[in-house]
Amino acid sequence: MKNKLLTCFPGTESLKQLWRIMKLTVLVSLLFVMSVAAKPTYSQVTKLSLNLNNKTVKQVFDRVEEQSEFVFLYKTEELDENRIVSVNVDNAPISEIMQEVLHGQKLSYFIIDRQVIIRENTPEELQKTSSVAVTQKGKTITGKVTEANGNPLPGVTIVVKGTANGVITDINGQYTLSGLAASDILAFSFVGMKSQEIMVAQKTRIDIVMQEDAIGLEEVVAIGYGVARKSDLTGSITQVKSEDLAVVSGSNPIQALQGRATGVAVMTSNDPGSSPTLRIRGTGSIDASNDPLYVVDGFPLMDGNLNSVNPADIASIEILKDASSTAIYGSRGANGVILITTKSGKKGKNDLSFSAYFGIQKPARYQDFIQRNDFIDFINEAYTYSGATDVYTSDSPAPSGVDTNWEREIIKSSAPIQDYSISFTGGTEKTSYMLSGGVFIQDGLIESSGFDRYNARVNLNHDFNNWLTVGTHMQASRSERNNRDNATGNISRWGWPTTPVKNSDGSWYYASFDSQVSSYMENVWNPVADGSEKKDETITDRLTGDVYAKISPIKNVTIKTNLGVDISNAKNYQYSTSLSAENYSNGTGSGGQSYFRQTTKLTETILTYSNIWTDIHRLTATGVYSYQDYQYEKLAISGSGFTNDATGANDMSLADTESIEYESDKYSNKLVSFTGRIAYTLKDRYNFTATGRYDGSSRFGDNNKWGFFPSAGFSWSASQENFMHSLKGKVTNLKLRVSYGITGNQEIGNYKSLALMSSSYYIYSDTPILGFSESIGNPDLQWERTAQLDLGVDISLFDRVDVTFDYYKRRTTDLLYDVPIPTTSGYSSMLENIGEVQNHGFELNVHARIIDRKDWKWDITGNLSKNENEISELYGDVTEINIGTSNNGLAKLLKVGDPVTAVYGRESGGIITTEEQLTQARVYNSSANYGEELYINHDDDPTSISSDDFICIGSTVPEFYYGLSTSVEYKNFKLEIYGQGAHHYASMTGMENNNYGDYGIGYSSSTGGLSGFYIFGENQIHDRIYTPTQYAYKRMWREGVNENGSFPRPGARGVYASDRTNGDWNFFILKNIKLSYKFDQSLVKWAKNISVYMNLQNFANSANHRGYNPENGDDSYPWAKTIIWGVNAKF
Amino acid sequence: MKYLKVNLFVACALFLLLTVQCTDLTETPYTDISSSTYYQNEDELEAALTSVYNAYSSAFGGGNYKYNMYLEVVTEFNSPAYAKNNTDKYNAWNDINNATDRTVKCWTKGYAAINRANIILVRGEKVDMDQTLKSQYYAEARFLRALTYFNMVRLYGGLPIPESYTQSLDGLEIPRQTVDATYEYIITDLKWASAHLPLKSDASDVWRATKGAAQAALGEVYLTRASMNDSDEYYKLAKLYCDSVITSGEYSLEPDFKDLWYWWNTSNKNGQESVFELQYGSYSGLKNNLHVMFGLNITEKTLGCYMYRRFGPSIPFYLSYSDNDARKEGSFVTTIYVTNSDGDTTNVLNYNPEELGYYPAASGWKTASPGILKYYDRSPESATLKLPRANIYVIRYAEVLMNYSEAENELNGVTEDALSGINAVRERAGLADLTSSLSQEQLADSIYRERGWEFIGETKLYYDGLRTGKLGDGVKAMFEECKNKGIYMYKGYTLDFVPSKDFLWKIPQYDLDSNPALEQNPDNVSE
Repeated sequence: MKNKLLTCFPGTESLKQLWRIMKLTVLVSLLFVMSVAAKPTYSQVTKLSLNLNNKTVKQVFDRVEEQSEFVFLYKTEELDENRIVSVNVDNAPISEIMQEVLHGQKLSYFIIDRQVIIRENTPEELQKTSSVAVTQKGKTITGKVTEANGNPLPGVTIVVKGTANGVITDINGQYTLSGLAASDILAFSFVGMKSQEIMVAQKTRIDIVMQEDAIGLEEVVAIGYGVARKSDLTGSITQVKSEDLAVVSGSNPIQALQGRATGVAVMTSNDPGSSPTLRIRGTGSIDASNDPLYVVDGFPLMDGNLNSVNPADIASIEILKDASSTAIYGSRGANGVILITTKSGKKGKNDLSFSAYFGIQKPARYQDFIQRNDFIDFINEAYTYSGATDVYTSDSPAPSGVDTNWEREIIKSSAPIQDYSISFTGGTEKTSYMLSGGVFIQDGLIESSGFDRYNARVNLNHDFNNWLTVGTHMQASRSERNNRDNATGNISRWGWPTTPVKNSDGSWYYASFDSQVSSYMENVWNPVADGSEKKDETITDRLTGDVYAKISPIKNVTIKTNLGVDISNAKNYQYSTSLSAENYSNGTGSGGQSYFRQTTKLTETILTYSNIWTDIHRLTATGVYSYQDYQYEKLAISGSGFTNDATGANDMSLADTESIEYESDKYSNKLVSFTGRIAYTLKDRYNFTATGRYDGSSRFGDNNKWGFFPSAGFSWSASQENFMHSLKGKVTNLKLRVSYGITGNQEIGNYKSLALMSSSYYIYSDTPILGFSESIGNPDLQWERTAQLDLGVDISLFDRVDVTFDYYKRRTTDLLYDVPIPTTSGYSSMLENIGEVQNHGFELNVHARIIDRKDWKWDITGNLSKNENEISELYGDVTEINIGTSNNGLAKLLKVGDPVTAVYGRESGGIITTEEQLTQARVYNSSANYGEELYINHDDDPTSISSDDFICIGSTVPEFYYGLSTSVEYKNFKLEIYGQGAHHYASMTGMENNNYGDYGIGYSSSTGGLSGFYIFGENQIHDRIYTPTQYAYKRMWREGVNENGSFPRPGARGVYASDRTNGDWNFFILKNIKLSYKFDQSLVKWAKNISVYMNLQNFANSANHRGYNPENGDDSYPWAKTIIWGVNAKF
Repeated sequence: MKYLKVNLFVACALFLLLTVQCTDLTETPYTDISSSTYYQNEDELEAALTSVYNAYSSAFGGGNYKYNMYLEVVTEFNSPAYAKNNTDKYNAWNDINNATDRTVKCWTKGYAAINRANIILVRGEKVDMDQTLKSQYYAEARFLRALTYFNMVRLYGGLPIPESYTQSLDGLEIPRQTVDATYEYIITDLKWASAHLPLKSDASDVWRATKGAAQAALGEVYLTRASMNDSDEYYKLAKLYCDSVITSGEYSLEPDFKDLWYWWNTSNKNGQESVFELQYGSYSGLKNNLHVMFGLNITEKTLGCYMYRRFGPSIPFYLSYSDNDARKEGSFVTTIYVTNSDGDTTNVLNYNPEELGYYPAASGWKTASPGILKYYDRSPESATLKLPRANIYVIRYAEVLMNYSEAENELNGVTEDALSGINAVRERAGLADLTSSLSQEQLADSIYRERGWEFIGETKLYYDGLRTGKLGDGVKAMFEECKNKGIYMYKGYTLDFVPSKDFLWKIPQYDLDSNPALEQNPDNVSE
């Protein structure tokens, strides 16, 4: 580039970095246009020292460019670059150097800000036009260069190929170039954009749309405490950009990662305001958290709730997966790190962006339970078979005309979702800003559920002087969540179609007060009533922000310090009226209020040294000190016996005094860290990264407060090697990566290492007596450690196909686990570091630009992830731990050789339809009968089927998960389709989670705790006669009706959740079909660009079960499909 | 220019100084106290003692319904009321050697109580306080420790006995003692306790353990030893300690059986018949959850807090009550008035044993049995607060009388003395006295049956059945009868195992896994 005739290469590192970060558009034009206003000018302020003897002019210029931001522009036919000169100046302005260099030459120079233009012409002539016309003969071409979005692109270099003739576009993207021949070829180039060559031919005007360089060799990614060129990376980092995020409409930005990033499993719930569950490269931990660390603009959040972040504010999300990438976060890196970078302003480019969408959510899946007539047949048959009598007889018929579809009564047929975001971005030479505001309103498909968010953001960056930059990221948000727990989960249990929603007098109907059916209904239930009689609202105000100052004391060194806080104040309000199901029997209301405050304080100092030596060496060294503390406080009060619903729980003094309960809590923790990283690139092809973090956490035992987490990575850009030149144009990128490192997990809760006294009450005469009992501490408690090896390859072929493949192996040791200790000690377990879990798998991402023409583009992306998880060691000689066996037939075991997330249950031998099966079943169950289920015996005792006969029916984490997306662009239309699925996993649905508590062992590594009553209903599990789905009812074994049935007969006994009901699940969801149209700028002159779109979200799904959530079978909240209309505009 | 540089380097220095801010990682909990600074005075030792009562209640009272449920439902006196928590299988003594699913769930909680008692006895040594009061605290701790071991030795056999409280993970792998050694330990504790505990009338707080409670417990311990070993020596000691309680004059039977129960009389907790009683109140964590778990499977405000169903009297046993036995009405709920929000009765449900336990029954009854009301709190507060607060008798005077009768009968046959205890209990129930025309064996059987009618639901009958060896025959006979009558809960089941005197539960596998020194009980093998 520098040997080219017109040099327009930024001179200093910081400038280069800025260009890369911002995908620059404007810089060069700024140099021309804005310098007039900037005083005192750069050339006056900047002082240089040179001590060069007998160097070429070019060498002198190179040195000046290295030391300063000056750029030299000249024609080689006018200036002899190789002329030998000597320059010796000390702390002198540029003018002094120019005098030395040009001494005795018939040349003059002219400085516009940082540009030094050397010409034969006089400076006055030069200043006449901002478009520097170089020669004046032959044909003249004019034109305009724009970005893909239609914005003019200043500063584009246009060179007549093979000649010295060239020009730069002005602020409006316009250029004029004269003295051309028809055979000349114009080459358009701009940093970060693909170069284009056009033959002049007979044209007089050539307009060019520059495309971003999609190969992205110069793309920049966030890496934690800094950024790096994508080409220099040694680790495995997936970047998801705002364009891809925008395809999904929802409250939480993490939802958009589903199916987009390899190695990342996202489980979503449709409940408005709930956070998705995210697992990066499998489940490493048993008892501690498996959630990744979330970092927003460098601020590591203490909780993973990103509901307060407006997805429209996000510029990119980087997912750090391997140890080389995550070790920078040390003791918090083991589960992966999600870096979120919000948008920032660009100098000289003032934009007002507006986006809005409105959508309608509709239920995507109904379970479709049987209705009145089928139900009466079913329930009579079921109860008769189980030994009781008909429920409905001619003497006691079902109430006439009642055929309630509870599912459709509870689930609304539609609910709106809407989002409005507005942002101002821009900047002057010294200051850039981004201001945004957003409103998101989502109603739930269940009455009185929903989520609203209001937020505002300010990102500012200001060059205070030439060595100090200050700035801030500040976000304020309010979110309001209305919650309805499990509104739909009990439909199959109590939602009889023969019972109405309301009594004839208009009051709510409760079956348990209806003598005809009350004996079948244990609980008072009516979710339709609760929709208006119950409120559970949480309002959260959150302020997250930092202020930073960055100084450059000497060249190539910056020191940045930031101070940040993250404050979240939440209030929960709950009230159930006297007419609600839970209070109907005693006729008074109940409710309460809770306040929560979470505060995180952060301070970090980051020292960066970055330098480039003659394009051969590139080095960035980073040192970080950080201190972060966290505090949690809670105060809650609740009561019952409110005689007047009008004031609700707002006036707690109206509650029955005896019923008042209160609770308070407070805890805190802190983390102190010293981090270092060195990234070195040799000849653009050998990249090395070494990282080390020394972390101290207050959570750990006195003997193990500090830990060290090192990692190293190496990558080789083979495509840069000479021997690959023969493949140039074919293999455009080939990079091999290897990394290894150790990271930690500190998410174990607070004070777990300490021996403490806890209150332990007794009571006499209704007066509590305070007592205290003690616990034992573990001073040796420390981090979980994950050692991870990553082997990766990035390949690009013909500039059209990009393939990324990674193989990884994660070995997690020192697992935090409540290890059973001899219970004769008085304690059942102690949190210790034990055992080992391994995850290994691969990730494949293929992206192809099948068609890439001006009007007609077609992209396809596919990704596939596979993870295998295995417990390789527990503790001592123990190879199996039973965490809990549910009465419904599922068990959670930790078993060496099996996944942490394995589910165990009976192996089904099918529904008993043959005499042979019946004989087999009667060995262990003398009363077995046709239409019930046969189970396979696995232990020595054939006379009973118990937990000893359980097999592993699979893991709750899918064997494979995959995403497919394609986008087609034709002229102004763009169609994006994207789907996501998972294959082969076991479900926990139907596993009652209350059985885990006997020994105080929680279970954190699954998406468990699902009620799944539909599974009971369909399968008559554990002798429960619940309403089945139509699907199941048609398939039920019924004597004389359907003797080949694949579901147990109505009222079947001895049926359990098994591999038949809960094993081998899979799903596929067509997440989005988005069609957008961009208006021609010629039509809409008042906007920079404007586009409208329609998006069909979740419109097609398939799953081999009938739970609402196709992913995990959750039946507690309906799943929505959404049609969305939206507009994006930029002014 | 010089100023600029100065500013710059001052700024740099400041930035780097910020870095040397804080590396202190000490955190002091806000809501907990460190155990190393606790136990300073009498109040703090008393608070630690309070936690032993809490632990005992958690292990064997309202905090662990499974202990009560599993031991009641395996007797001939009870049946499952609903197929939940595998109570149906327990009924049939099914899969009884399974150490994972089929345990009584009190081992861990029992040892928590023992450790807390040990804390008092060791930590108390350094507490500067009145010696008499300290002895009383020690005696209470040893009484509760003995009761805990006594429950557990009867369930599991010989037990590991830690010498002190747990301070670290060292030395926790304690092997089991013999049954005899375990009983020796229990007896030593109880004797020491009875020597240092105040009489009931002296006790400042009636909820505390008393001398009478320790003596009554000794009576029961010796009776158990006696019937297990058929030893006159032990019967004599059993009689002696029961006699001490009787002659102390501190206790007497409630004239009206109903007054024992919160259902009937809410102002008679810790009454004249109470020897040792677990206390509950309307606070979460201090409520009596047995109300919920042994309930009638209904949410109805006239029954108090919501209810689930677990077990109730077996139909043959329920029918065995004499119609004029005050305890039939006094112990069971057989009628439910369903009310609407205005309090008007909209429906009346009546239990009818002729429906053979089918539920929901044609009559509308929701479970396979009547409800045992001994732990029910039907007060309006119970309905609104959902915190039932009936107390639980650990030892009541009626049992001391029955124990006295049994010991005397075993020693000397059907004497006036032997009849005195059981007849006092029968009289109160409105039944005629037994006479000396009975044989010794007939009286023993009568005492066993009488215990059933008197103590149903109180976690007594399993122990009595086992030590007397009457449980196996009783269970077998009841199972046959139920099968023959076609009673619902017995449909499809066969009695898998018949317990004999030496029956022991499996120690939970979890506990075996954590302590390699622990030996599992041998499998119980059906004949």
